[in-house]
Amino acid sequence: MKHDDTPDNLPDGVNRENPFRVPDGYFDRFPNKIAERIAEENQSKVIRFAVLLKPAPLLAIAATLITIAVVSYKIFNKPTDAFDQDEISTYVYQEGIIDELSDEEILDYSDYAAADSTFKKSTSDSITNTIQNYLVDEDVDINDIINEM
Amino acid sequence: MEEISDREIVDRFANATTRNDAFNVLVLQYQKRLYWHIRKMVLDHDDSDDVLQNVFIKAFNALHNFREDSKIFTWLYKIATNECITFLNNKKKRFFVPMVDVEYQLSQNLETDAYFNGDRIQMKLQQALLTLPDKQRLVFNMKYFDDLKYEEISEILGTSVGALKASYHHAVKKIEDFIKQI
Repeated sequence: MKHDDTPDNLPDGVNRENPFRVPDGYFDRFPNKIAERIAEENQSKVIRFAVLLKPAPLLAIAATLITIAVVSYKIFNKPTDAFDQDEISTYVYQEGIIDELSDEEILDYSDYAAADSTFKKSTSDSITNTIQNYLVDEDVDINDIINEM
Repeated sequence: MEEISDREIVDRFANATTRNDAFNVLVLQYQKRLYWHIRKMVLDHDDSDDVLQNVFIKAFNALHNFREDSKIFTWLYKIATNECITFLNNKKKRFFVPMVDVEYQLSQNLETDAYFNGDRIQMKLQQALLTLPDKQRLVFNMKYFDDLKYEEISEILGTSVGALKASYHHAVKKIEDFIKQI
């Protein structure tokens, strides 16, 4: 077979014949050998990763419990929507929020607070009247109630 | 064995269920060519076996990144070439001897190697090759024994065709002078 750039000044006897040999069956066995080695290397990677995962179940349990505790706290310790008017006013002044509010906003809130307060007062008055009317209708002596208390 | 295209090997390798089969095909298709390329550089069979295994391990771990801008064989050849150079450099460091002495050791080992069947002239040729710098030896092996084109060798070694031609002819001259001296 003609080779391009065949050197023609190499001494006689020099040729391309392969002087090396391999153990019998080497190339037949090699694919299995390399497959086993790759499987071993992947196994050792899995083991190294598994070692990192060992405490994972305990961590998972701990994380779950913490999550349950936080969620429960948030559900069962919901802050009341009803703030005392004084508390709101104090907070607004202390935090400097009053400076952020426009006059209209302040007036709107005041009207709301007054209305809310009026509503609560009127509701309270209504209940008192109902009780008093009942006592009169039933001819109950208020002093008897006081003596019982 | 019917050869499977690079495209098909890469596609099958990308699929987890066919990955091992694809890789097995790759090994079967290229193990001999790569082995002999390595063997001609490191000379000893056991060392060649180690290097060849390293080559295929690296190929397995990197094949998913193979972009088909070259042939798979060229890519494998490149890995094998680098592994040979690394092996020879490590051998030098391990024994704390200059490269010249390592080459002498390799030459001595060849004379008692059970897996070397060459005659006297072939022994001389191998000893002559060991006097060359590693890269020049690679060029000579790939051109003379493996019959690769200069363009292919250029792609593997990253050296220009012109430089390769010069290196090869220079190697031939050195070998001729060495053998004639003996």
